[in-house]
Amino acid sequence: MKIACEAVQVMAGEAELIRGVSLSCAAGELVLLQGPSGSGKSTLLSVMAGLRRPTAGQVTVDGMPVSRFTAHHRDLYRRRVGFLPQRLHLFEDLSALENALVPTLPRGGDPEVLLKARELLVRLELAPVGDRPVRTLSGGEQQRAALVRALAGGFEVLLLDEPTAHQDEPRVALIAALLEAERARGAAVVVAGHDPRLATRLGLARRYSLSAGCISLEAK
Amino acid sequence: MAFACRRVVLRPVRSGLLALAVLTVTLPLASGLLVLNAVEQTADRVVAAGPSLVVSRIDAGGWAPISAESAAVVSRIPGVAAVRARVWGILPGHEPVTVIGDPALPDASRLAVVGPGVGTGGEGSPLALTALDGRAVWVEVSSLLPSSTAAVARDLVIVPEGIARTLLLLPEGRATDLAVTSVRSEEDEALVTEIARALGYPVRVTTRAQMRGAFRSLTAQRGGLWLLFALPAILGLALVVGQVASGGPAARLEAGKLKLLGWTTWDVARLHLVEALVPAGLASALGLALSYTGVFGFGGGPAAALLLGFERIAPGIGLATEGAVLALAQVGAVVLLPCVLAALLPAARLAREDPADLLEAP
Repeated sequence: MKIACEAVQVMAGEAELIRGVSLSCAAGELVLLQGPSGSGKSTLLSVMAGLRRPTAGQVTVDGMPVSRFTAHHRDLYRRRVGFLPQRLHLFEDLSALENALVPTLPRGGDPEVLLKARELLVRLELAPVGDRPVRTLSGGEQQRAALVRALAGGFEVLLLDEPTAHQDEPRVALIAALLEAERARGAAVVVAGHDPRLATRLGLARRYSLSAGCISLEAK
Repeated sequence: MAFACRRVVLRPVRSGLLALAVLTVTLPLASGLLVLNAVEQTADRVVAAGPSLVVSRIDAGGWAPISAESAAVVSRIPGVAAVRARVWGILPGHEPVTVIGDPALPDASRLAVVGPGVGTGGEGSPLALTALDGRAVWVEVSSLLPSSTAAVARDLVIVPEGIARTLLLLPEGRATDLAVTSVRSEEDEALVTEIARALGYPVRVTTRAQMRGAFRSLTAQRGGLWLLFALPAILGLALVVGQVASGGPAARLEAGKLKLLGWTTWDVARLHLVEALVPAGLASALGLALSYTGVFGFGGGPAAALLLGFERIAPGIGLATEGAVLALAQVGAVVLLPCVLAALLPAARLAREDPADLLEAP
C-alpha cells in the first residue's frame, strides 16, 4: 500500500500550517520526516491519518483520495492505519494491553492482535506493568504502550510521531528494530521526529525535512 | 459490550447519578399508572360480574325504596332474562359499612359474613351494627371474606335479608333497587327506556357501560393529571441523561481518541448507548419491580393514597393485574427513550466534526 501527499495545504484560520507538501511512502518503505518543533510534522501526520481534511491538495492511498472521503469512509480508512500521535491519547483507566485492543473492539476483538500485543509488551519491556492502568506508568512506559497499540494491529500504514520520545539508548535501539521489522513485513512506515539516534538506525527510503510548513527532500 | 460495562464500573459516580435519576422518575410514574390501570381493570371485572342494569326509584328527595312487585313488571319486558330485588345500603358511622341482605340466610341465624376491612374479633365473635334509627343490632361473624377481595368487599357485611331490612329501615315488600340481567348486552341501552316506560314512575336506570364509564373517567382524569406532573420529571431526566451522556469536553476528547483508532460514529454512538442503557435499564427495571410490588403486594402504596384518596389499603388487596405488563412496558419506554436520545444525539453531533478537532478539546 502506498500513501502519498500531493501539494497538501492546511490552514488554521488565517495561519498556514502546511504549504504545498508532497511526499510518498510505498509498502516496505521507511520514510523519515524531520523538522523543528512547530514545523508542521504532527499536523501533516494527522492529515495523512485521516483525522483532519487538508485545505488544499490531497492524501492518496494506492491512488484513492482518502482525504476526500466522507467522514464515515475516513473512519474506515483509519482502521488500516497504525497511528502514534504526539500526545499519545491513551485511555488512562485501561492497561497497556487493553489500550492495544481498543481498536479491535467494534469488530468483537481479534485474537491475533491480542497475541501480537502480548509479544510487543514483552519486547518493549512492558510485560511486568502491562496489566496496570497506564496512568500509573512513567512517561517512557506510556510512550511504549502507545507504540504497542500502533503496531499490534499489523496495519498496512504506520504513522509514528516521535516514537522514541522519553526513551533511553537501549530502548531506542529496540524501537528501531521493531520499525525495521514492520518495514520488512511490507508496511509503509512514516516516522516524524528529530531524534538523531533513531535516524542513524533506520534503513530509510527517503528523508524529508519540514520547515515552517514547507517540505524538502534531503539526501539520506 | 464488555468494554462499555467496564467503563460503567470505572465511573461509579456518573453511572450512579444516571441510575438514581431514572429510578426517581420510574418509581412514581410506574406506581401511579399501575394503580390506575389496576383499579380500572378491577372495576371492569366487578362491573362485568354484576347485573346488566340497575334500576333505582327516585323522587323529589332523591333515592326512594322500590316496590318488590316492580321486579315482576320488569321481568315481563322482552330482552330481560332475570330481575332480582336487592336489599342493601350503607350504615354511616365512625367506620361506615355496606350491608347486603342475603335471602338465602335464615333470619334467625343472625349470621354475618364480613369483609376484611370491618373490625371484628374473628369468626364466631359478636358484631354490633348500628341501624339507621340508631338501634344496635347484634350479629355473629360466621366467616371473613379473604383479604384478596378487599378491593370490592373491604367494608361489606352480608347478613340475612330480614336483618338488613331492620338495619336499613326497609319494610317488607320494598327493595333498595332492582338488578336486571339482559339477554344481550347490546340491548341494554334500549332496555333503559323500556323499563322507565313499564314502571310508570321516575327511575334511574344505570347500564354496565355507564358504570364502567364512571370508573374510566375517574382513572383517565387522574392518569392525565399524573402524566402532567410526570412530564417535567421526564424532561428533567432527559436533561440529566443528556448532561451525563455528553460528558462535556472530556467526552469530546474521548470520542476523538476512539475515532483516532478507527471507530466509526456508529461505534461511538453504540458505546454511549450501552453506557447509558446499562445503568438506566437496571434502574428502570428496579423501579418497575418496586412499583409492581408496591401496587400488587402492598395494596396500592402511596400512589393509591395520592391519586385515589385511599386512606387505608388492606394488605394483599386483590387488584387485577391484567394490562400491568403493558403499562410497565409503556413506562419503561417513556423513561428509557430520553436515555436513548440523550446518548445518541451527542454522538450524532460529534460525527460532524473532524477527529482532530475533538482531540484538541480542552
